[in-house]
Order: sequence, then structure tokens, then C-alpha cells
Amino acid sequence: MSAILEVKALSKRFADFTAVDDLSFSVPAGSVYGFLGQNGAGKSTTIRMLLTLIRPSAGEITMFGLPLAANRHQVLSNVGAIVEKPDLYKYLNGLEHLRIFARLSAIRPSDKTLKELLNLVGLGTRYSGRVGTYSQGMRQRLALACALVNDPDLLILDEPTNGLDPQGIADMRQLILHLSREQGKTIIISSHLLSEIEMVADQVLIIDKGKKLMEASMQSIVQKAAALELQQQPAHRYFLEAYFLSLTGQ
Amino acid sequence: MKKNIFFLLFLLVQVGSLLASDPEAVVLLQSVKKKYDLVSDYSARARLVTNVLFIKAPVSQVTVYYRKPDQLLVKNEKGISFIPKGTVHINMNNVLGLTNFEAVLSGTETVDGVSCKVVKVFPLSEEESITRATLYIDPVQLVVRRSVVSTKENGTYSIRMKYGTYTWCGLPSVVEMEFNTRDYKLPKGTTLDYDNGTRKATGLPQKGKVLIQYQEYSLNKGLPASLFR
Amino acid sequence: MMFFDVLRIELFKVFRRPRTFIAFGAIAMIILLIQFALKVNGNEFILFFTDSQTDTFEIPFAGILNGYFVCVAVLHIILVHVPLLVALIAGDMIAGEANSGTLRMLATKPVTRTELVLAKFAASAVYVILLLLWMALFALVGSLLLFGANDLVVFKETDLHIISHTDVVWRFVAAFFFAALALIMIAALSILLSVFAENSLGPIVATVCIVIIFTILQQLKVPVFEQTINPWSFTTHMLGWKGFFYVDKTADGITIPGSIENPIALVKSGLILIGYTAAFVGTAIGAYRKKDILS
Repeated sequence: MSAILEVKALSKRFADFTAVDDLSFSVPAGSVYGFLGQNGAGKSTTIRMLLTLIRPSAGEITMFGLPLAANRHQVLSNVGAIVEKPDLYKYLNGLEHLRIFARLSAIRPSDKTLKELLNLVGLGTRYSGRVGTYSQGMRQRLALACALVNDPDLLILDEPTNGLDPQGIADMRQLILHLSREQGKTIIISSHLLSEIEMVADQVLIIDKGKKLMEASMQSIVQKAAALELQQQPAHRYFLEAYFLSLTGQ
Repeated sequence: MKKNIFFLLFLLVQVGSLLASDPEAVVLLQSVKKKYDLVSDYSARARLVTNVLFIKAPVSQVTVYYRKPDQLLVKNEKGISFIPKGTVHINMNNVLGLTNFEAVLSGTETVDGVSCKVVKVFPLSEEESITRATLYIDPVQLVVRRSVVSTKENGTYSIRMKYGTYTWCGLPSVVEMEFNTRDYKLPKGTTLDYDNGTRKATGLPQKGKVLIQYQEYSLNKGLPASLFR
Repeated sequence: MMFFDVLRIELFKVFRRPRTFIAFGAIAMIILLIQFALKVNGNEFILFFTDSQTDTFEIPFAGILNGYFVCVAVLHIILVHVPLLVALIAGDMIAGEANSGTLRMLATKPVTRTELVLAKFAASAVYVILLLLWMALFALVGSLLLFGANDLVVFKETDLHIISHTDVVWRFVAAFFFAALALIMIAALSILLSVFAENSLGPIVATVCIVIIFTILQQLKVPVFEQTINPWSFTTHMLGWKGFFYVDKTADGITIPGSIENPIALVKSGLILIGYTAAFVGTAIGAYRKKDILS
């Protein structure tokens, strides 16, 4: 599988603090790529660098075979993202959000297409209500619809299940799998719900203190965890969770 | 008896004042007044030019209304003019209509190329707003060509008059009045002016001028007194 | 093309927010209050300016208190406060979105940061212009309907200018344009401050404080400030709209129709305001391009 995203020796320093340190990884096209790390490990900073929100101190990011810094416009036209808690315009409704983000991606889909997208994320008929009246889960769904509005090949989802109820989490999982398997999208997903990552990811990157701890396929992690019999400990019901905690020393 | 004494005193004052006046001056004044008396009222369209150091005003079209003996009104019907209160003194009847005064002939002087007799008039009544007036009278046309009127409250007005079509009734075609003005200054910061670098001229005498150019008189049509209220 | 799309989006957002209309409502309310006060007590207001001349001149109170005069009075009172209303929107443009978290969603879209700042600035400028048109509607048209038209008397600190009613309307148009220039500069300042803030309150308060400080420096008329800061202070030049109501006169004291007392000073003020605007927007773009969006 060719890489849709390649990161080489990426670093970010804030004054005397190094948030991301010489990080390299590559995301295969069509994969669901889990991005794991404790709070403050540098996940969000890395994701922000992938989305040009933060300028890297060093390193290279290549997406779709193009250096990101020099081809920002072209690259981001084919990317959709949710960065942390999605905060939307409380005074606008769902449909208006989609229109705005479509325009920002230089496309003008019909209202019918936009309503279909809202249906896909499970917002159904609530598109005319002001976002201020939405629950956190509904906002999360709308943010995902906004990320999908330009039909991107690469989706970067930072904690997409935040604020969702169990049913919402299950719906999101199904949607991610649908987008990956049915629509062939590449999805980078960061979440603290390791069980969710385990259920959807093909490949996993684990970072700690800004450095890469491990990059491996989900299959190999399951095998390693099984070999170590980590998941049999009562607190660790999932392979990934068990392996993650053993790696980060917790 | 008391009544008689008062009557005698009054007579003495009157005779005294007449005795003090120059008979030639009195006659001259009466001749001029006779001419002015031909007009009992008028309204006139006129062009008003204000030249005051602190006022920038456009030339305005005004109407001057006069009603015998001392009512005079300058009205700008279509715009705004700051009309000096002293314009009432362009009506010579303010001086010629005095009953209790002293008049002295004070030589001759040339005004606008015309030799005029100078008559100084001193009102004797305390109630008069005029304290004294100097009239430069054209003895041939029997019109006042210049007057300098000093008032109790508003200083001195210097008025020059030019005559044309209405010389026969003593009405001027052009009146130029010079008067004293007070400095205009508002407290700092109240107007929040835009500083465009223009500085007010200082050290100049605080004199204002008003020029009235009459265009058309309408005489003796009977103006109502209410107009002047 | 992309810029205009972003501008349309920014305008859409500005005019969908209830906060935007607070300014429009406040302006309408203030203008109506001033008009009411002048209708009831206009002569007292005029007497304040003419008190020293009541012995010398007949003060044409009724004539002075006309729609044009009321409009200038309204602008005089209100334009000092409008920077707050401008800052309320412009100061929120970037910082508000940073605070609410929508800025990072915008910044992940294929729009350059320069386009984004320019679009936000242009949207603020459109807001300023619409606010001024609204003000013109109430202050000029409203006052003319309520008070009628006549020559305009402008009272300055040391002189007064009477402008024929036939020579007034173009001055209002020019003054509104100049006021727009001044307020657009305030919008640019707010946007610049907004780049550095994570919530909108900071740039709004900072903008208002800067305006107040420079206005006070200007009003103090301290020689050291008069020679150093004030000639370049934007608050000095923001008052340029008044310059269109200062007429020139002939040697005989007659106003020259269509004249401006010192047009060169107005051009200079306009250029200084444009210079400040360009500097503020330029710095905002530069800072925002380098900014790490951490909100």
C-alpha cells in the first residue's frame, strides 16, 4: 500500500519545551490509522501540524505525494478534519455550516447533497435548528459532516467520539468503518478510547513525550499483546489498551 | 403752586436745550427729517454681506422691513444670517426722531466726494439708548451720508450710506455699517475641532462690518405692527 | 475569486449574529434621543455656543436648529463612541473565533491566512459602511424630516462657519466617506489586536482604551504632545470628517461656495488614516501567518 501521508523528523518546540521530537511515520492509503498517546504526549500538536495550524520547527510532511508547506491549498482541498472538541457557530444552523465549509473548500454542493450528508452522520432532520440548541453529540456529528463536505480522501479525526453517548460512539465507529471500507477514505484517528481504536484501526502509532514509541499494524499488536498475555489481566480487557499501558509504563 | 414750579422748571429745561442747540443744525436736521417722513413704511429686498472676523457667512438675500418711526427688521427668509442688533441704527429716524436733544454744527467734511455738514446730536433724556450721534448731512440732497452712533450698551456704530433712485425720500441704495464685536471663544475641548492647521488671526481690531445693498424698495404699503414682534 | 467567497462567508456570519444588530439598535436609539433632546431644548444648546454674542447679534435660533445642524451635532456626539461599536465586531473577528474554537476549523480549510485576514477586514469594513449608512439614514434623513432644511452653522472653538444649504449635501457625503475611512482604520486596529488575543474582550477593550488615551492626549493640548504625538495620532486625523464643514472665505469674510478651509490637511489626514489601516492590516496578516493556532 502506498503512503498517503509521510512524516519525516517532525519536531515542534515551544520556547524551551519540545512538544514533538523527531517524529516520523507514514500512513498507508485506505487505512484507518490510530494515533495514540497520553495527555500531553504531542498528539494534538502533531495533528495541528498536519493541518497547518502549527508551523513545525523542523521536519517534513508529505501528503498525496506533495510537500505540505508548498502545496497547502491543493493538499487541504482533499483533507477533512475534526480538531479536538468541535466548536461551531452557535447562531447558525447545521445546513448553513455545511454551506460555509463547502464554500471554503471551493465547492457548492446542492442542498440535497448536504442533507444526505447530514443523514449520513445521523443528524437527520435537525439541520434547520441553531447549533446553540444542539447537544454535544449532535455538534460532534455536524463537525464530522463539515469535515466530509468536500468528500476528502484523507480524514483526520482528533477525539471524534468526545461527548457522544454509547449509541453515538457505536454509530461513529460504524461510520468510520463505512467511510474506510465503502468509500476507501484514509482515516487518521486519535482517541483516548483505546477499545474504539482497536475496533477500527488497521495501523497504530503510539507516541510519548513527543517521541514515537511504536508504529505497527493492529494485527501485530494483538499478536504481541497475546504473547505477553497482557489482556488477561482483569483491568485490561482489550489487547491495545493492555499493550499501550505496558509500553507507557502504566 | 407746586404744579406751577414744576411747569416752570420743565420750560426752563426745554428753552435751555433749544438755546444750547445750534439753530442751523436744528433746521438742517428738521429738513432731513421732513424728507424721511415721506416714508411711513417700506419693505426692501437686499443683499447682505457680513464681514466679521470670527464669522464665515455666505452673501444672503434678505428683506428689510421698516415702519415709522423706529421699527426696523432685517429678515433672512431663506437662509441664516447673524444680523447685528445695531442694524436698527441704519434707520436715521432713530436720531432724527429724537425730541429732547442738543445739536451742534461741527464744520464740514467730505464723504464719498460730497461735502457734508457735520452735526453732532446729544440726546438729553436718560432713557435714550443713544448717547450721542454724529451725522454727516449732504445739505444739497438733504440726506445723511454718514453717521456715527454711540450707544449705551453696544458701543459705536459707524454707518455710511450711498444713494440712488430713492434719494428723494432719503432711502439709501447701499448701507455699510461698522460695529464693535466681542471675541468669540468657546471653552477648550467642547467642540472637539479637527485641527487642519488653520490658526485664527489674532491682534486684529474686533470690528465687524455689514454691507446692505438694496435691490428693490416697496414704499408705504402699510406693514402691520405684528411683523416686528 | 476565493477571497470573495470567504468575504461572503464572513459577511454572512457577521449579519447572522445578534451582537451585530446591537450596534444598529444603539445608534438608532442614541440618534432619536439626541433629536428629541434638541427638539425640546435646542435653543439652550445653541445658546451654549452663541452666549457671548447675544448682545451683538440677533441669534437666529429657529434657523440654526435645522436638519443639517442636528445631523452634525449627532455625528459630533456619536462618532466619538462608534469606535466601541466597531471594535465590538472587528475585535471579535479573529479572537472571538479563537475563543469559540471555530478558528481552527477555518484554518484547516484550503484558504490562505492572508485571504482569511483580508476577508475578515473587508467584512468589518462593510459592517462599518453599513453602520454609517444606517447612521446617515437616521441622522441626516431623520433630522431633515424632523427639523427641515436651512443653511448650516458650524460652531468651532474660535469661529463659526455658515454654509449655504445648497452647498451642504456633498459635504455630508464626503464627511460620511471620511468617517468610514477613520472607522475602517479602527476596525483594522481591532483586527490586529484580535490576532494576538484568545478571547474577544481583550481586543475590544484594548481598542477602546487606545482611542481614549490618544483622544485625551489630543484634548490636553500639552505642547510636548502637540509637537510630537498629536500630529501623527490617528485620533487627530479621525476628526477629519469635520474638515468638510470648515469653509474658506474671501478677504471680505464671504464663504466661498464649494470650498474647504484646508483641503491639503484633509488629504494628508486621509492618507495618514489609510497608512495606519494598511500598516495594521499588514501587521495583522504578517502576525497571523506566523501564528500557531493553539486555541
